[in-house]
Amino acid sequence: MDHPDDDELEISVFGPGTGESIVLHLGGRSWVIVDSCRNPKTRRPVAVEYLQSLDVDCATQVGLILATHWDSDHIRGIGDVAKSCPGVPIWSSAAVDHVEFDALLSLEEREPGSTAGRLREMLLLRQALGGGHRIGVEWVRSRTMVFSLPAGAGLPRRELWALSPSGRSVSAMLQRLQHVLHDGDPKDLPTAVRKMSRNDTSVALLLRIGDDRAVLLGADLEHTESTDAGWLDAVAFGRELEVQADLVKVPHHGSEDGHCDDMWELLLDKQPKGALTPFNSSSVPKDTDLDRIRGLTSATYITCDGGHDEPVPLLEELESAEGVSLRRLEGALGHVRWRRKIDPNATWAVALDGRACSI
Amino acid sequence: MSVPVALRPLRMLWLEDDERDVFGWQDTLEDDGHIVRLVNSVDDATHLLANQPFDLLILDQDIRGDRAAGTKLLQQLLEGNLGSVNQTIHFMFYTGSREWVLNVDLDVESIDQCLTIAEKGEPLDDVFAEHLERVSHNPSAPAAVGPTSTDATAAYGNAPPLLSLGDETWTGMVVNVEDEQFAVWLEQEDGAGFAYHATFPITRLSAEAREQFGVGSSVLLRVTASEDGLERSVSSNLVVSPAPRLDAGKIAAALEEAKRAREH
Repeated sequence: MDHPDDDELEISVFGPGTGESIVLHLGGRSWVIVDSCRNPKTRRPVAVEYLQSLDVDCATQVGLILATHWDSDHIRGIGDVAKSCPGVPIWSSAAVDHVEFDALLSLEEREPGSTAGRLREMLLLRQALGGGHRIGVEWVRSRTMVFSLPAGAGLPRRELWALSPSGRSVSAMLQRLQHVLHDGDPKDLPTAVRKMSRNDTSVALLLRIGDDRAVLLGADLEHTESTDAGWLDAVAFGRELEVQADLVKVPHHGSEDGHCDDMWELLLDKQPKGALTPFNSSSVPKDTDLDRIRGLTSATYITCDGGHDEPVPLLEELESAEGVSLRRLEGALGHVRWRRKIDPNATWAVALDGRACSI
Repeated sequence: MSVPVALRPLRMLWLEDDERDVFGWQDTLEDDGHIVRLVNSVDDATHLLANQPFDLLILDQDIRGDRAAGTKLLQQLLEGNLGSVNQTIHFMFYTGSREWVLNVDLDVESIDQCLTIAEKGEPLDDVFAEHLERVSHNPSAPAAVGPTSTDATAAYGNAPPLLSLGDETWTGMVVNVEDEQFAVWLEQEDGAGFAYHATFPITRLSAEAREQFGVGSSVLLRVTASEDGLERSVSSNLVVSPAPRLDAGKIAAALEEAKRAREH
């Protein structure tokens, strides 16, 4: 892969089947990393591998690392990302800026498995950032500009805005954490943490380029009927930015619960380009999801088609030999790369790598 | 570690509840073509002995806190209490004290090697070297043990060789437990590029393991493919750690600590 030109935007979406990481080039050799997953073969964070393959100096050319929420498919390897980008600010959803979350991390540290692996990556991030009882990150709520580049060198101002989580979603997460820690049977804590809903607190982002172009990154934000949470709240703020996006990272792996008509109608151009990551753990997107997304976009690409080129592991033979039931979560990495000049009249061009393909 | 290659691959059953004590040796032995089935409970060992042929049984004395577990199993085996299991199996045994073995009336003479813990480690190199050579070269060596089958009762030299066709090591965590089964997230240890959600029947665990494991338990799974004559088979050994032990006091302490840290 070649480095994008200084006046070129890039939205690279990576996924191995269960997992997601996005790398943004905002022009002028300035990069942002959103979420993390690992290359199944090397176990290294794909974002770092990719940037290093482009000879990007992660310590000086990455301006921001953002973890949209603490689901493991979005933060695997985030501690290694932090180590590879020393000094780079790290932001994460404000939903976990609570004593209760700090306590859960400490429990995971002392009794590995206490959070059923859900917080292991956040614990590694805390350790990568120097330990202590709090993670040294900045906390993101909706209506926050998390990163910006000034106009200059022929490029317009570029701003990255958080559309979520809403105040209500942050409060709801605190209540869930309190319930798990104070009300439940301690023996059931790992299961309770594992089952805790987190998508409503993920950070959807809108990248605004100048006054009239934008990219929407939907994270795992879901749609609810509440106007002060989920996509309805995010759309309300997104409209204030007075710009519509022509490229979208489809929310929540294309699943139906991430779909919001208002998002598609009010934050996006008609028939935008799209990128999508699957979530093999729950077998999404389903065929009906893909049909819906095909109808809403002019061209959408998914990072992983479910296939692989490697020999089938012996493990799969246990299905017949020992009655083990298996579902493959990660097989091979895919990469969807959208690029276009920052010039308002430029159009997007896609390149695919690994298992990525058109939907 | 180095072990001389035996004349033919040996089928070994290794009872050990601490995989750290085994894996270096297991890899070395398997690299040399031997088949090593690792089990971490007496129940699993008994089950395998009754259903599969083995040439050599390697026993730890202390299994999951039961200081006599290994000796009890060996005693049952020597006394013929394990049904169809061939009693002429070769044994290696390691123990805290040979006196312990004598105290439980085990016939030390019938054991090919009875090592003390102090002898386990580097000297085991030599023990394996000597022992494997003896077992594999001795023309009067007993038939492989196992169930009453052609394989188990065949003369040693006529037993079809069991060839290792490779193995995989997977690590992971228990993510769900139900009445009849439990689910595990598995990653391949050597980074070959796969991860799975696997569901195992609860019967894969011994009764003791079932009481101790739970969501959050770490998992080590070794999958081995082998060939006995013309038949190819795949088997696995599953080691599950006890679940995290949380109580209200630990949770309260973590909360208080976090609260104090924020206040400062």
